[in-house]
Amino acid sequence: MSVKENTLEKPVGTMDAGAFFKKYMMLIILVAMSIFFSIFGPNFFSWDNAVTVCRQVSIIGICAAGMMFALLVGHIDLSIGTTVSFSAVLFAKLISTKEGIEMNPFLAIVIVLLICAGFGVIKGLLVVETNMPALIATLAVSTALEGVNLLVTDAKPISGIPDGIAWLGQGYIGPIPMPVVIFALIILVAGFILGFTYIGRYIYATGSNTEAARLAGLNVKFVKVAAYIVCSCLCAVAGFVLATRLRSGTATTGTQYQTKALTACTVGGISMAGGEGTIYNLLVGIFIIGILTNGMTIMGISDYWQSIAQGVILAFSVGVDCYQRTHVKTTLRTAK
Amino acid sequence: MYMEPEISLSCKELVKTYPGVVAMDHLSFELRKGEVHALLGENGAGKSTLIKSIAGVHTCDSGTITIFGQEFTSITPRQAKELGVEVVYQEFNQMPSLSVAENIFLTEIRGKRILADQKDFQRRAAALFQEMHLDLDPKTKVKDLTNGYKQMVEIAKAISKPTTKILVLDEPTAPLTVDEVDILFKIVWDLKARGISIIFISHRMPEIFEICDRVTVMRDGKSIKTLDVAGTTREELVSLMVGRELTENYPPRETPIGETVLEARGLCGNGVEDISFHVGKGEILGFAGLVGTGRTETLRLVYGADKMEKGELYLHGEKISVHSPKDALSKGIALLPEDRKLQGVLLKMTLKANINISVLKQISAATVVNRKKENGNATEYIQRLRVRTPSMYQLAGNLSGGNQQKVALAKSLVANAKVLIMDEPTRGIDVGAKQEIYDLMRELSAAGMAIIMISSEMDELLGMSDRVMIMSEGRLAGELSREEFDQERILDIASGK
Repeated sequence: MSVKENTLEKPVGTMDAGAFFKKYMMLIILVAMSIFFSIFGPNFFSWDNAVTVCRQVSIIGICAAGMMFALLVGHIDLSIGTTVSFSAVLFAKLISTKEGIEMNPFLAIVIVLLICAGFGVIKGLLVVETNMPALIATLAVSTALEGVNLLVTDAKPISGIPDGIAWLGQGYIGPIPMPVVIFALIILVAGFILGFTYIGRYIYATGSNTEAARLAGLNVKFVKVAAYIVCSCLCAVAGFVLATRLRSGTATTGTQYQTKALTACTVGGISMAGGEGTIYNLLVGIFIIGILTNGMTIMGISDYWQSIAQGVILAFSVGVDCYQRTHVKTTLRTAK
Repeated sequence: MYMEPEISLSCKELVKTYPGVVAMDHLSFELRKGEVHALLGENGAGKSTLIKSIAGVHTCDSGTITIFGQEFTSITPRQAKELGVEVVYQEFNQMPSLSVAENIFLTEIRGKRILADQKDFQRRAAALFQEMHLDLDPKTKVKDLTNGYKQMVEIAKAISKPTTKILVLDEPTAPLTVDEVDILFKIVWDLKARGISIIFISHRMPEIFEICDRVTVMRDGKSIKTLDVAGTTREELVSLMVGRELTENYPPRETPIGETVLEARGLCGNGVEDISFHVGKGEILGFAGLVGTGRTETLRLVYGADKMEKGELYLHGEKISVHSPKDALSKGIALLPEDRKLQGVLLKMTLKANINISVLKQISAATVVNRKKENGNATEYIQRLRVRTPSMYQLAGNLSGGNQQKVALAKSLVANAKVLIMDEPTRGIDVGAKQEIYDLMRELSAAGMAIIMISSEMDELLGMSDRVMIMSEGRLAGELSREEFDQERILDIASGK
């Protein structure tokens, strides 16, 4: 008995330290960054800039929420960028007064959502039925979608988005821009689903250990496909906001969104291994990336450098996540 | 004149502990030059730990290992190999897409030449196979071989090294056919004649009498006795192997067994064939057999965890079809899986989440989980199963093995099962927790639960079961009722004698 208790003490302690680091370190970095830019960035600390930051992060934030669902079930979605583009161009094409068929925007939204949900089903089924790596499955879908997007647009921007629906991307509710409202709503709903419903528990259980979840009576295949559907639909929403905000749809509009979404998720502490990460982690991650981008822009640092910084951050955050995980494993093994 | 035999390897007072388990308890062992020495013991007796320590895979907590006069308190895998220790494990370490010859000589590739000399490899492999009386083309890819031949290739790899002086074979005959076993034994005799010492682990008693010189019986991490095979009998070995004083207390049945709850007829699939059995209300049905004979596989079919090819299941006399664990649970069949960490509990989730995972839908209204009911379940089962934890918010991964097992059990109980399948319910947990699991099993059975228990621990099987089904090579080999219980008879039936 004494042997058991002694060895039990240690992992508990180390795990708690790890959990503490994961939980609060990023928040501390976020606050530190804000203070840094407030001091060194002209006009960073202002209401206007706060609204700007929120608006800047809203579209990526919606995508990151989608990515979060894919990550939580233990997979990934690299087709986020092209799905956003697809949604933007098809939506634009359907409602455009110049090049499209002038469809009712709400009908167009439903149609695009359904098609994107279909992409989610395809990605999900590829992964659960063939057991292929999600990386490849979603990359394949992404590559195909790239072609589809160019076919739809003929490689030209589609303009002529009617004034009415442009409110979605350009309007305000009170002082708050619509994209931010939509983003906030999505975060609230996602947070609610993950935190309070059994659907959320199913997602965490599946990502945490698929086999154990299956043996506990969960339909893990369905959960995974559903996560991809949610992810794709959120990309569609990001596409609507993007198209109405820019009042045009182009085939390349969502390029690299998956990388940004992934960076936001992992920086915030959502594990690549699945089953770990809350909506709080997502928000922290999104705002770290948002404030970094905004602050660097205010300080006049070029886009090129920002891209380099983002790559470094992505490698660092995923590296820390993976290192911690394998490190904990080895200490447990040697403790044996 | 009597000559002191030459000692190749001696282990003194080895101790190795895992959390909650003492795998080797002041274990001593001696291997003479040119002998075939059997290690005999139940699962968990410490055989694997011992050979892994000799090979340098594990480091012991204390004790010394002396190989050809060189004494070590800790030995690295490299040092062990340099001294001529080669181990053939049960799991193969092979590169499936490479040829047999490459697999054997792979470790030689590094060195002076950049390119591997395939012709040379093949020539030498062919010579080696001839020596081994083995009909095998060195160019064959390992993935195309049967398990028996894969095992042979592993052995060939071990003996291809001219430095090999001590060869450890961990259940080498398990994947082999009768003919292949004969080939293996010829090889063993040849090696012995060359002065190589062999440690031979096997569960099959006749094999020990056929090729071993001495045998060391192990139990609970201790070496109980070393005997000359010529001077012992299988009865003596069996009684040494299983005859521990009973440290556990098996609570006796106090309620009668009721009508049949679950009946399986002609189950096929997952490597098992034509399995039929039934279990009554409040009955504990044991499944005995060697590891890998299809016990787990059979009951995974019943639970819907693997695909059933043929066969029928009846619950209370009504035919049911089970296609997934979800189906099984909804019909009242629960499983406590074999591998607690990988299948039983969700290590990254809290106790509370684990306990409720199978009933979340039932305790939710409009998809929102009712926290009150959730906490209620968690509190109730933590108390009832005496799970030792600071709180229900503790991650399951932070608990000890016994407590994790209780959580896994709680998960099944919350789901209101009528039939509970327990696969090795007490493997790797400490004595106190074991006793609690036994008490719980009795309590559940008294309340009318039909329990099916797979166990490799003979004591436990005989102590708790009302009937035992014995499996051998994917089939049912026999059935004994409580009055007929006899350890030796079960071992005989299980080893296909």
